[in-house]
Amino acid sequence: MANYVVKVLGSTETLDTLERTIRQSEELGFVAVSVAAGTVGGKKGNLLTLLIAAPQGTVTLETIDGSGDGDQQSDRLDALAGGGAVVSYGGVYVGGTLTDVAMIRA
Amino acid sequence: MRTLRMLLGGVALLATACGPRVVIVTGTTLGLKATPGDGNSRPPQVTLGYKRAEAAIVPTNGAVSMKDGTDAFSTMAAFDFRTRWFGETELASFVGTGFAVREIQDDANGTEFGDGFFAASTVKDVPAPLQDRRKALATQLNGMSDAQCRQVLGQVSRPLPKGPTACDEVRKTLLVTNTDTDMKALEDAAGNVGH
Repeated sequence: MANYVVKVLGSTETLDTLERTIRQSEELGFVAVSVAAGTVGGKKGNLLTLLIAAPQGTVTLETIDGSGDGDQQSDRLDALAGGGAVVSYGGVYVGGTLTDVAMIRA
Repeated sequence: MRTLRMLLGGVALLATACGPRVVIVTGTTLGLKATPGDGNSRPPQVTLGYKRAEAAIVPTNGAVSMKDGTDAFSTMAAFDFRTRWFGETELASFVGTGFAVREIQDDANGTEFGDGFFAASTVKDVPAPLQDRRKALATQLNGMSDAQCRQVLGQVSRPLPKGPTACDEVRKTLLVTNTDTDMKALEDAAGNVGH
């Protein structure tokens, strides 16, 4: 049975700190399945969804320019993913500002 | 005209009589008068009268404000009066509900949402030495039985799961352990379990 865990990441942190926090979480025996802005306890926040499992590969976070259309963002995701996989893509609070962020697993 | 307004108000009340709704009523009366000073011919005068009242009944279609983040619909009424006739004078009032108010306050804080509106983080970036200790305990968990993990949970006063998922619960506890004190308590508990 899947065992999902939802935790709150800091909303005013830098992208590097968010990425490092996710990596540290995975090092404890979790796999990150998504990171996205959401609501918890009536407040805004970054929701990190994890699965208890052994991670494979390292995750990185990349910002995507939201001014492009869907096709342009698809191309950007393809370029960022390279030989890896896009785990999730959506709005994430970075430094307190909602930003389009892709989580990519190498 | 007055009758028409009352009629419209009555219709609005009837239309929203049932179910949750936002009601907002404000009123302002402002008077300003300057008295002449020289007493000769007709003195200069400054007279200003202003009176306003407004009311809004906003049906929310059941979307009442809840702690889970659902907010009632937004209403806003603002009044601002400034004059320099008698020095710097300013009167201002602001009434609002819902996310409109939150976002205005957020703007004042310089971010899209002020810090007070963000949920507190539950997983945090920890220093490398602490992360090394967390990783060591995570590895240790791989070789522990459910019974042993239950002992760990008991020693750190964590609730015990009904099913055989105690080691998952210890791992979740480890995930949110970000202080030396909490880490030591977890390490001590793991070191004390029977084999």
